[in-house]
Parts: sequence; C-alpha cells; structure tokens
Amino acid sequence: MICSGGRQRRDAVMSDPSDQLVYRLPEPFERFYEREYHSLVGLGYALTGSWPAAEDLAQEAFLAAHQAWQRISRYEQPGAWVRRVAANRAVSLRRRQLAEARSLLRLAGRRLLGADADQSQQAEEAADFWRAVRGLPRRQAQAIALFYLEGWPTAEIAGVLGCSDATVRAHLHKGRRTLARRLGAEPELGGRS
Amino acid sequence: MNLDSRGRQVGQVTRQLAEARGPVPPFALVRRRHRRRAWRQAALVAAAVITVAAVVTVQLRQQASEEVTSRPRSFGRVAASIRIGGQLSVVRADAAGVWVQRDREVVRVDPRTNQVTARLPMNPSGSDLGAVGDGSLWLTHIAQGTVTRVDPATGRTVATIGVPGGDNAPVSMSMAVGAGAVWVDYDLGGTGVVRIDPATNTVATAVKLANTPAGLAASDRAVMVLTSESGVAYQIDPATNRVAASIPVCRGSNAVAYAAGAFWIGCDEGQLLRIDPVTHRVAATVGLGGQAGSAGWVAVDGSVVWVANLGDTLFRVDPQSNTVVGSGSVTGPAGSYITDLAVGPGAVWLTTSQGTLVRFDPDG
Repeated sequence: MICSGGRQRRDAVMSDPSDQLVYRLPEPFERFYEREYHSLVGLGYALTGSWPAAEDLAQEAFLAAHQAWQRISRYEQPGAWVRRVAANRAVSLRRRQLAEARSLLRLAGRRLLGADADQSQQAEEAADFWRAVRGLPRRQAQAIALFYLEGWPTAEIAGVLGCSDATVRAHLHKGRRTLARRLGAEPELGGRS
Repeated sequence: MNLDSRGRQVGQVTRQLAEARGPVPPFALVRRRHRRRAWRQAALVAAAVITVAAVVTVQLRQQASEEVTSRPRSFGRVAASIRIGGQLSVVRADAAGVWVQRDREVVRVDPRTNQVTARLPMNPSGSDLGAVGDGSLWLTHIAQGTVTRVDPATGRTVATIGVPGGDNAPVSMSMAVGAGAVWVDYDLGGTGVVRIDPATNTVATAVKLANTPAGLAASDRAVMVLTSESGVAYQIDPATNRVAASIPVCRGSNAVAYAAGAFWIGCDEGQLLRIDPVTHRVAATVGLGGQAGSAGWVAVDGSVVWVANLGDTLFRVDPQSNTVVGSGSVTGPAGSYITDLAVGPGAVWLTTSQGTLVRFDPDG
C-alpha cells in the first residue's frame, strides 16, 4: 500500500513554479462522472470478467467519490482515486459475485453473438485475454489492466495502485512475461515496462 | 501478433464494448438504486443483529465484572503537515526518527522539530524502503530479489542479501523486524518467508508456505504472514522457524501489525480482525464501515491500534474493548490521499499523495 502520482488534466490545473504546489480548479462531479464512467466500467470488466459486476463496481466507486467530492475534486487526479477504489473493490466483488457474473457473462455473450458476429468475436478474444490477466497475481493483473486499457505510463499506474514506480515496472514485466506464455504471444519485452 | 499489440487492441475493444452497453446512466438513478439495495441489506443485517444481540447481551451481563474501564478519551488531532514534495510512498518510524520514501531517496524527519534532517539516495536504484530496525534501514529491490541494509547515519550500504531464487524477480516483497531477525516474504510462485540474521547479514532459513504471501508482522514470539486471497494467515514460530498454525481469516487481508498481545489484520471488506497468537483464532472483529472501506494500513503504538482505509479515513481502535473510539479524515483540506501509515515517536505519521507528511498527535 504505497505511493502516489497519476494523470493530470492540464486544462484544469495551474502550477505555481515557486513552490511546486499545484492548485486544481474543482470540476463539477457530473462532468467527471460522464467523462470517466465508461473507462471505469471497462476496468471493472477487465478485473471481474462480468459486465453487470463491472457496472456495479463503477457505480459504487462513483458513489464513494460523490460522497467525498468536495475533497476529491481538489486532487490532481480524481480519476486515479476512483480507479484505485474500483481496482481494490474488484477483488472482493469478483469473489462475491463470481457465480452470478459467470451466468450473466454467458447471457451477455449470447446477446452479442446475435447482434454482431465480428464484434462478438472481438468480445470473445477480449474475454479470453482478460481471463488470462485475472489469472495473474492481483497487483500484476491491476497493473496490466491499467496499462492496456488506459495506456498510462508506469508512474501514473503507480499512483492508482499505491505502489512505487519501480514496483509497477516489475509487476508489468513479470505479468507480461507470464501472459505471453499463457496466450502463446510474443512478449516484446524490450524494457521493464 | 505480439502481446503488446494484442493488449492494446483488447483495451480498445473493451472500451468500445463498455460504451456499447448503453449511455451513462443518470447519477441520480444510480444513487436511488444503490440506496434501495443498501436498505434491503441493512434490513437483513438488522434482523441478524437483533438475534445475535439478544444472545450477546446475556453473555455480556455475565461478564460485566470484567468490563474494561480505561478507554482513550479523544481521537487526536493533526499536529503538523510537513511539506516534503515529490511522491511519498512509504513511511516508517523508530526511536531515531521518521523515515519517508520520496521518489528514489529516503528522507529523515526529526520528530522534535518536524524538519527534514537528511536525504539518503536509495541504492540500488529501484529499491523500496521496507523496514527500519536493528539500527538500520532495510530496502527491498523487487526486480533483483535482494534486501539491502543501509546505515542511516551515512546512507552507505552495509550489506546486500539475495533471497533464494530472487534472481527470478519476485512479484512482491514485504518486510518486518522482530524476534531478533528480519523477516521478508516474497512471492516467487508460492514461496514463502526468509529469515535474515542481522548479526551476519545472511539468510538464516527459508520457510515454505502453501499460498502466496502478501505482507507480514513480527512480535517477539511469532511472525504472522498474510496471504491476500486464500483466506488463510500463517503463524510462524521463530523458535523453530516452522509454521505453527494456519489461521482462517478474511479473504483479501492486506495489512497486519502486532499490539496488545494480538495481531491485527485489515481486510478488503473494511474489517479489522484481532488474532490471538495463542489460540490461533479470530478473537474479535472490528467493523470500520463506510464506502471504499478496505482497511489498507494498520499500525500500533502498544496501547492503540491505528487503521487507515482507502476512503482516507483514520480510525483509532481501543484494543481493550475492540471498538473504534474515533475516526476522521486527516489528509487536510487541500485534498490528498493516504499512501502509508506508521506509528513513531509520540505520533502517528501518514504520507499523502501530494508530497505531505502528516503528523497526527493522539493526545491532542
């Protein structure tokens, strides 16, 4: 449980070069919610394997953010905070709703099959990929999900997960190596991130 | 297709699928739906509580003569917010001072003046501050699988100790000092814990565990090792270096500390468990409640247990009554979240995401 950092919205931030303090103009919660909702649902899906569970997870995280919005809105990265809550709650939610999630996932898959064959195949591939990710140790899975979903650099992922930049790089390195082996893909591990 | 191309494509598809689920639901609707669910759950819990309470009340009356009378009178107060800057990720404290990991250096703060008095670069680069004890700083290097002992007065490396198999890069490493040793758990595909002898700076023994370790704490007579998702904690006897007990705890345990004759374990679901190291059982469960309630950090000063959760609330728990006697947000009005917690000379210390070390005075 360590560390900080994360994405900074340049359009809403004023930096004071004299003391390195950063003052963030509070953003209306509704705008933040609208902008981040689908990303958080995507993260929830990657970590739980269930769309209904992912929506539940995202909504719970936003409810938590709303309760403390006066404080969180002044953060440099409220998006990082809400992802941190969702990523940590995903572990317990996944356990609690595993049985329900499986059946709902099957239903969701059937609906997608009927709707669009190409999209269904992509959905199946995504499901396979995230299933392999969820088979990794928790921190590795969270780092990998943020890495591929958000395309964030390791310092920002460190801010969400509460661990050091170096630890995130180690998680990503090891996680990607294991994933490549399990998925039969080439690892492309030129660096540690 | 290589992994990164596939991962990026999957990420893009997942975002599209999330958007295809439908428009963003109105937040008012989300609130109503979750409130209704909470009421339903509360009704079920209330029914269970009433039943249990009837039984417990009878038992408590029988034990009235043993009731605790001395409880802490106040929660405490924020005594100082010490601006250090950078990314503060770890805080540890001992009699010599408060030690904070700031990016790639360790910063010492003097608790008498609340001033930064030393900055020590961490070598090798990529290390994390694991523990302070035996007059040293102990760093972990997860990518190399090593422990580095550092002289806090000079910042010089005293010894570098490799954990068995560590060159395969463990997934995680946690550390605790106690029972005359430094204990390091490391996840290397279901490995366990190593005991480092601070007299020789060598690995004295390794203890194999059936499940992946995820944090540990040590007292003079026992070491408690968490396993994050198996629902089991292992108690190691330092006299034999063997697992003395496998204790069923919460699934998703994420922090542990020792105080008042017990180990205290923070759980993902927002509870604090009191583990009796003699009976190897959960002696009490302290509910912390609230949204985002995962109990992320536990620290103790002998007579009080302090817990911080992911909702950035600090809880003061009385180990005599096993109850929360105070709680509140301590990260300050400027907005910041907790990244670590430690108890040190006369105060509770919290690092925050915006480069501030918060000093919380328990007697304030």
